[in-house]
Amino acid sequence: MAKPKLTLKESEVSQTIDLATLLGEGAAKNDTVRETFFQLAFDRLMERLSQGRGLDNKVLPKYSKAYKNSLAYAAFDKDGTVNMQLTGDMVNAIKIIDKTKSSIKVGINDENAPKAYNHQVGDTLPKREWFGWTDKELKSIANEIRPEINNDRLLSDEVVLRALDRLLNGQS
Amino acid sequence: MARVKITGFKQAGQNLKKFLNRSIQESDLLKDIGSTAETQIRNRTRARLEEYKQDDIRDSTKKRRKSLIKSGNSFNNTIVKDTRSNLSLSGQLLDSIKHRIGNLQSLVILYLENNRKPYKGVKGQDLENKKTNTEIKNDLEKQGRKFLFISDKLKAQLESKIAQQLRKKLTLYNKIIRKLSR
Repeated sequence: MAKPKLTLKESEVSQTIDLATLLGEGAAKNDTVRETFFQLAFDRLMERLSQGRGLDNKVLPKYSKAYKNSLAYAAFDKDGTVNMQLTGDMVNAIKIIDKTKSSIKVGINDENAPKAYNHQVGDTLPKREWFGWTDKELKSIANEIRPEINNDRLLSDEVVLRALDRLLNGQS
Repeated sequence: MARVKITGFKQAGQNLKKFLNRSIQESDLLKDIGSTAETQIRNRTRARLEEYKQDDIRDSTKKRRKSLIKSGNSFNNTIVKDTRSNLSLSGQLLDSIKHRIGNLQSLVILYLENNRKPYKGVKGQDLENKKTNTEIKNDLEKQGRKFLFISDKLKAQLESKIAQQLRKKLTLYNKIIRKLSR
């Protein structure tokens, strides 16, 4: 399986997901579809991490003995599963960074980005390719979504989208 | 953000408000936020992270801590050291952080439970236990040692969790989850 094309910089770790190709141009513009796609992709990444697996379901290298003996490891009561979470700040920083009519860019571009980058490329930390989704995984999410897309906008969905926008962008 | 035209605005506006209030008041969302805040404050303080990192402790306190640790009062020898300033010895103060949900106001309230047990002396006897966890917290705060607050990083994490819970209320998301669980 070819690795997905990721943007890997100290200031940004991200993946652009071409929703128009996966779901069609109409659906790619639909905010409910975008947010749902993102949440399902995030759920899958978290599910993989909870099993100590990263990109392409590969087992992530084990923690070092020094880390296992550290104060942080004990304070957060970690159990040895390499889930890329101590405080959880890094994984929870994953968000939709940018949108076009046909795609969403998902990743981290805040103060957590250097850490995410260092883990992913093994720059100053052991290399653990934890972030990203393979084409196969994205197609599988698209296959779940496609038959369920309904362009009728529900009032409750409008409220959720508006609340999300306010929460994430500070707009009403 | 896409817009829809909603007719009957007054009623629609009330419905929107009701839906949002109901979503925010749902106990699963508030419980998740409360329990994350509780655990994160406790663990970040113990791990001496960010604004939860406390100033160094005085020599006299180190002496007393050493003696109390020797008497078996440490709850975890990796976390507790006589010289380490992380508000941890018996673990009771940080373990006493709890949350409750004020459903009507969509509030999560963090508080300290006041059920503190006395330290043990060298011979295993109970030492005096005059102060509650709240009183200890107040004394610590007077010394500039704060811990019961939400840091910027924690706030960002809580906001991300709220956003995740909001997305999970989308009709499309729920349809797919229902389909997958069949």
